[in-house]
Amino acid sequence: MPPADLTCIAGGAVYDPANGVDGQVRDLWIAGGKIVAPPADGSIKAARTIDASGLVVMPGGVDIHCHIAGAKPNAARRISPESRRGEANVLRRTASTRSGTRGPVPSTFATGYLYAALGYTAAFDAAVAPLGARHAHLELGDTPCLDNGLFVLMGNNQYALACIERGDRQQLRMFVAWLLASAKAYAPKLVNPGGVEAWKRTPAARNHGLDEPVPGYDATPRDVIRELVAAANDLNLPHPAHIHCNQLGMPGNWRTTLATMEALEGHRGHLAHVQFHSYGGGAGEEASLSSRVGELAEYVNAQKNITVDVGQVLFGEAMAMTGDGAAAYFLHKLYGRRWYNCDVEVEAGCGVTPIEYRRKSVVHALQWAIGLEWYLLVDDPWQVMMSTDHPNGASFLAYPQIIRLLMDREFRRESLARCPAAVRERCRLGDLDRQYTLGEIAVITRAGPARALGLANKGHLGPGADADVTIYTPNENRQTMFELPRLVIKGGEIVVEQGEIRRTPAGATLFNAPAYDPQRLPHLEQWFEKHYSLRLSNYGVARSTTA
Amino acid sequence: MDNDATPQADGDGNTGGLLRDFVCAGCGCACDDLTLAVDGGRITHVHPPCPLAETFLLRPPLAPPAACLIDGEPAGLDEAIERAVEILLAAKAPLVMGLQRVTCDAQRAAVELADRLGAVLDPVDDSGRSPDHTAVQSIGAVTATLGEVASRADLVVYWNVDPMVTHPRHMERFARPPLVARGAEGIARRVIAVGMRRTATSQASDEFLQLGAAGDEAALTALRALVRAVAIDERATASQTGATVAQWAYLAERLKSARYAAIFHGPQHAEPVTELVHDLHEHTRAVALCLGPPPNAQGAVEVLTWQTGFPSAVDFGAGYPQHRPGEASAAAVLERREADAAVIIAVDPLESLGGRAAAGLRALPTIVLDQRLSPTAASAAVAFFTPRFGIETDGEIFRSDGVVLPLRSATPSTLPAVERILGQINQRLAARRP
Repeated sequence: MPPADLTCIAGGAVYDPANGVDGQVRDLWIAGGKIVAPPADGSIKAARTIDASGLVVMPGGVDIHCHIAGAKPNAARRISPESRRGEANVLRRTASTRSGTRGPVPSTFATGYLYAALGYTAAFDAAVAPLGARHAHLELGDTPCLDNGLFVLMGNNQYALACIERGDRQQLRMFVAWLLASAKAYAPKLVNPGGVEAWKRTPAARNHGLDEPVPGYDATPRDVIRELVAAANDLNLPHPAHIHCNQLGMPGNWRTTLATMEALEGHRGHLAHVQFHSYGGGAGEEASLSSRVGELAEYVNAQKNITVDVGQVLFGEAMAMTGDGAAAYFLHKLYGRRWYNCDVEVEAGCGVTPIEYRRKSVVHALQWAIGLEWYLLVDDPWQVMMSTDHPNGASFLAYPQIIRLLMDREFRRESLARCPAAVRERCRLGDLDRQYTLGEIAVITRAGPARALGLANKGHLGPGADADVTIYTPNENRQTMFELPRLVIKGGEIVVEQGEIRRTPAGATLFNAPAYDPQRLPHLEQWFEKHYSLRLSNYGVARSTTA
Repeated sequence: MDNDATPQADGDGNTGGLLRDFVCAGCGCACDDLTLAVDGGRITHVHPPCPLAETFLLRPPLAPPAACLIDGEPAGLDEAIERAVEILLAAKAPLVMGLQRVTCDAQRAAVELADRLGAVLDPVDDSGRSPDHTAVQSIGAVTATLGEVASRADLVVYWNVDPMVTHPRHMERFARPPLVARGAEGIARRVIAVGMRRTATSQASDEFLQLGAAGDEAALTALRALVRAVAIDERATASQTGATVAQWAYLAERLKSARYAAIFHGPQHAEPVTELVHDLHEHTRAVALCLGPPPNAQGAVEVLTWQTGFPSAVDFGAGYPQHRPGEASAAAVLERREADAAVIIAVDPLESLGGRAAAGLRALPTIVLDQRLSPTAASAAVAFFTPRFGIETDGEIFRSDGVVLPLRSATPSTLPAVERILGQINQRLAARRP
């Protein structure tokens, strides 16, 4: 007897790069929420057939780096009420969906629906202080349609810094494991390692390089990166380290980014929103900004242990939102807009300020071009991933526009031609003819992020994979094609049909809780009670709020 | 292995014995280090001693007249839910208000209900008023968690607030412990109280700076000018603030020369204090924290914001959230008699609002969820009695600084939780009016 829910997506052009399928017409079989092998008995009929002939079939999209849940996104919503007014910025309630608002940081239900309608079925929030994890999990519980996870901030954690300073690698390893389990988090995140601790001591701290000691500690940011990455790799985490480099946004920061890559010492590591970290020019001289993607991409091309996501900038309103409190303060000073900052005890910082990227600005247009250079200069698409660092560079809703810029060099040239002339002199974008194929787009938007995250059941369509499938209507204008998927299937169920939300399943929150030696806990417990404003027993996230 | 946090209970579960690391929802400190002695289903002892926690936790159990009342008569839960659903199905412009003294799950269910009904939704405090969010909406906030202040701030200023009365353990927990952040160890912390009169807080501080009546705004303006080295009129400043320019210059210097300054203020001063903190960033790190209302007022702000994008006064009438502060505040809607039914959660507006708003409320069919027979509950069309918040409830609450803490019931209740009642109303409404 075939399964009662046996479904066949018939006759689509399948792009499943993880399994070497590049546009061949295939039938795809689904049962029990999973992709299954085609029935051996050719006479078995599917209970439901979805005719995909003439359509493009891909795994559901996987966003490896965005900010969608917890204290920072919610602070961003609070400081920008005017961005959610007017018909264009609202989602009406329907029989199956909650109402919501958009703007640079949509409300939680709206976030889930908008991602789903874009063909995405998983998204990872890239920067949550462990102390804010309980809040973030509550928001994820109200963010439907997306499987999800949190990366928790560790690069300025005072306990971790003390372990690193002492050279106590075993204790550090235990701590990383304990912290992931306590926060129910997916991966460790480093944000401006050591630099946030510096920010807590002085408003002038912005330019903390890799080799100046972290203030108060006998350890440098380079030590922090090396030791945390090594600990995370030792623990065999599926996504060992997600790194926001030091000196975000500063002219001349490319050397620090290169040094960060070197500090990985061959271990697996992921550099986030690398666009913001690839700048030439003199320190403190905005006007001297230039692209140094060439040098950095060359290094990445030679180092298979490294992956990056881009953090593409697009022109329009965005929201700077970061665990890097110093960077947000800098942007607030630069543009004079609202500013939210919260210093989180022991662990982290948090800064939010609105930002508008203008095509007329040489700096902003260069940032736009530098992002595109990253996609075009990394040879292996498995090493570079789609992101806008939502909502920092732009909304995730800009992904289709980025796809068109990558697949259509004429469109790209026209866009570049409308930027200030100085941009073309300070980057190589004008010389780059590469065009992405659909198969490569499938890599950078789902297969690659899933592999970098170590998600065995996502980002591909082989038997055993989650039945998360997006079906597109081909269109020469790739932006149009990717903006409005024909069907989005999550766990075998149709959730979106041509932009209309049909079902709103709760997503699963994925986390890692590696084993550790409990005999190492008492030292941490004593330290905790002295440094935190809450009891250890009230710290760990005990329940999954996704239900 | 199981890394989940679990309350340590000695003895007989939660009907007797000791409960450790209990979270107190009595004030914005949300102290989570309480040990409760529980005997015979009642809390008998609270440690460490705190007058507010004792008042909050040792109150004798309330005995509601019944699980539910319909038009003042005892009724069963199912019957009461049915009556509530009928009222809401008939309503064209309902109002949902209250929702501060409940858990986040109850708040989530209340926003869902308002969304479904196309209602006006407004969290209100114990006075029945909608909190003002203008400061954060117009300039943002520069803040920290309370532990950051405790471990790092070498200067703490209490700006015209009296935590020794309103938040009894605030100073002990956040302003008086030794600094433990690396590099700050051993530095003596200074605590300065600014206020209009000597208080328990000023007695417990290192210094006291006296303000004249209504001198707040002028004093903050003077401080900002001094921090920015802008000349100010000595005589006018003295007469407006009640203190000499020299005194304000002293405080300005203290703030500028602190390594990390924390200013605790009341909600009405969020904007000028935040502006002062902005100015201080030319010199040093500084943060401003509202000496907040009790849990779970911040939870209402956060839950509304993540679900709708707005913290208060949300009108779902158009089928989507619109933020109309003032206009769509609960009191204004009641005064203008724009609602035709009201769901009132854990608040007693009939008693607290008075005047035209209370008169407007009296004219409405109301559905009240509360832990006691308040005047509002007594006059409700349907009243549901719910477990006592902070004593008999499980879930999450936000501390005033945004840290979420787990709330656990100390004693059992036979009454259904607010989120369960609202959830059932939501389910029945969905079935009748999809």
